[in-house]
Amino acid sequence: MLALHNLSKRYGVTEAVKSVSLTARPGSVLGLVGENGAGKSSLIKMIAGVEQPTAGHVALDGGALTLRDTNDALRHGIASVFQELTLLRSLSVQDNLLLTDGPRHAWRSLNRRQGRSVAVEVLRRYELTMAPDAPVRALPLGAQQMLEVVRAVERRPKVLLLDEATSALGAHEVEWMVRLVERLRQHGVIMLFISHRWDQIVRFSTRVAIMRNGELVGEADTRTLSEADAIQLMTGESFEASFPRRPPAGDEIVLRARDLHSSALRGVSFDLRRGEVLGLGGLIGQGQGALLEALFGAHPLQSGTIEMAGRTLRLANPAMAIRAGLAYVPQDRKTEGLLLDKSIRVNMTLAILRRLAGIVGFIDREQEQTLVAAAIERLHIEARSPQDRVQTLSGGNQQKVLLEKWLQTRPVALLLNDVTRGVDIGTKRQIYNAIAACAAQGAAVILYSTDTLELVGLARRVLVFKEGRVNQSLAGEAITSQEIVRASLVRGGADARRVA
Amino acid sequence: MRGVWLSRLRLEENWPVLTFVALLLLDVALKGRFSRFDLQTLCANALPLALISFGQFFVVLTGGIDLSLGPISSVAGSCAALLLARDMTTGFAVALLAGAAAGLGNGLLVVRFALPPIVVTLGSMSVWQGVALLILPNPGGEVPPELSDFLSSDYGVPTSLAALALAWLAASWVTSTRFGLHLRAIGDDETAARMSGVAVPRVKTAAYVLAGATAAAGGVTLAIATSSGSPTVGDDYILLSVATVVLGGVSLGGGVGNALGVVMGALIVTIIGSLLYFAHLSSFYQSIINGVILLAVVASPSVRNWIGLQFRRLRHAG
Repeated sequence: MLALHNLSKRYGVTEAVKSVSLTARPGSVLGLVGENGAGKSSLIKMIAGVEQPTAGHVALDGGALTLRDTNDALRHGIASVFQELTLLRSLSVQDNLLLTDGPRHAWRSLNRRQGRSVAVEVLRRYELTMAPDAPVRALPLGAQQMLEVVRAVERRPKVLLLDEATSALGAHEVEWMVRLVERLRQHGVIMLFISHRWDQIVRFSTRVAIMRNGELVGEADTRTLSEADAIQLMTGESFEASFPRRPPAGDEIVLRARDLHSSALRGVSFDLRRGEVLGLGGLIGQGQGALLEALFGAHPLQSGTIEMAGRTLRLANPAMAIRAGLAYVPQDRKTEGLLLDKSIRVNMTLAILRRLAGIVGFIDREQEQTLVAAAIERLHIEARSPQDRVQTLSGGNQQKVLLEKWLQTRPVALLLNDVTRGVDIGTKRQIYNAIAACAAQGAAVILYSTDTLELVGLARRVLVFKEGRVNQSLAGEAITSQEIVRASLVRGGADARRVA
Repeated sequence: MRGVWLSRLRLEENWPVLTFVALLLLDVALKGRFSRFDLQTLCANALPLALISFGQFFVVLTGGIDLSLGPISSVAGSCAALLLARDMTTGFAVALLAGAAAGLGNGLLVVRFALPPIVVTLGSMSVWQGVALLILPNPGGEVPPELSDFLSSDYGVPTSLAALALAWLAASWVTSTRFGLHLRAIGDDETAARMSGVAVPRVKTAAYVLAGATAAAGGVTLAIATSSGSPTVGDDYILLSVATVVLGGVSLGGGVGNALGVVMGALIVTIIGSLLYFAHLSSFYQSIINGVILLAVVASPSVRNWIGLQFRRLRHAG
């Protein structure tokens, strides 16, 4: 049995976790929900050994634990998976599995064939279909998360902690996870997991604990608690308020894509209108990300044309795309979007320095300061000053900085690649508002999201992808969760060859 | 059709081997012969470079770089030249332990104080250059002739070839162990490696120790091959060892590379030297040509990708 006794964590003057006590029996799955800054991650990190509590303690099977780091926690049977993956990206799937599953002896050669059979056996046992030789970086994010979970489970933990570790799983992968959770439950593993996706909380957990402002505000059986009630407990507001009003789309076509082909795309055509929010849906890795990257000049096309304002664009690199008025917010903000070591100010104005520069090239500091201060206020970015390094911000706030960086460029078309992954409901709402405001000002937005509710709430049209094609195009009333899921599974939808 | 056999050769992985084979063929064609003696000379010349480069290889796999390996090999060679004639066991032991100790110093500074490897080893490079001159102010010392004879002997297989093969096997064994996997993991992403349960400080320190000892072995080999010690003999290898691993397909970013590539890198550098010597060109050209080949190798994947992409585009359009 896992027990938390008056666990508290204080960072400087902020009390992140205020005396939380909680127990979990073997075989129970506890979903932990709450807004960003509610203290969920801090709580999990104390159990995982990443952070040390300022007061209180963690006890496992009656004995109090003092955990110095994650390896220490592992020795006590506590394994954790965080949103930030710990996979080695340029190593193969096999090597990644061997890193935790390999022989214990440091100097015994890992015979290649033997190593492979270990890896193949692990993959088979967990019903994973990825090739053992594939470098991890070539896998879609969902598959990477599955691999990360498998690595943690392979350590045979008594307690498994998942902190936004399942955020990129698609519909099929969630089913896989449900089976795995069931199996672990039968083996008496205690699971604690954080997710901002209610569908996952419902599928995985037996109980839900709700946190607000560092305190535990409620605990309930998952079956008796509705999402609306949970959100009310988390925020004190209702669910419908999450999405802003959708602005009407204009008639003017700002971007015309025709018959795009690449290693991941098989003939994609569509028109994008001024002020429109165009959603991209479907299972993970069906070409949605590749399409966005292609439009941003970061994914080479083999054929097809992209037209903006009547001119065919040559998009050989992101610089060309930026000049044409495109802006792209990537999925992995850590590696693709932000200079983590630099301040909020530097990150926000990096893309518009040309506009801020005077005649001789000096940056107009005053203008820069007003601009950054206004953005911090508008997006409710929680930071002490614009000089704070981005690294010190929470994930949601980092995402807002990244979004703002591109909004500042006043793009003609804004390309968003699953930008609310692992972000809490409060921050999500602020991001939704920013997207809607951007569209209302006349920008066109292409929004790819793994969260279908988001597409339902924000998009006027949804292109559902399958195998590099638009499988079906949904508009207006037809955009519902069920409809999107259906359209992502049907074979060769009616719209596969048409211009959407 | 051309694309088919090109892809079958798998240029991406086999680049170092193919370059070496091409250069060897060129060498044979120009000289019109390839005797047992030529093979023996080639291997004997490549052996010290290969050993020092293996040292570099272990450090580069972790994403670091070691500029002190050349001078460490000078120190080891100087110790060997002073001690081997008196007592062989002591000579070898002192030389190798000196190398390992020097590596331990680098490792502790890099790990304990979280200093950048390039700065730490730049400093220790200078230190060991000085120490080598203190030990052996002038080239000299003495190496038992039987050792030098052994290195240039031929028992059915040239000893130098056997030694090179042995070094390769040893290095491949190291990279195939759990320790080797940990080296690559650290080079790929240190934080992720730590979170995956790799004892990062210990493994990283061990990499520098191993590098120091391996480079020391290279220095001893140099002393044996030239029958004497020189306090500055290792200076040439400071950057040459870095160039060699890169030529061998090892990524300076860390995490990528194999031992066969390093052997090939050493052989490539050596054979270019021999070709230039044969052509009566000054050794200054060696430096230029090494540099050009290095740049060609580093640039080749992107150049090939670019050509491949244009080719696919053309085919798609046609």
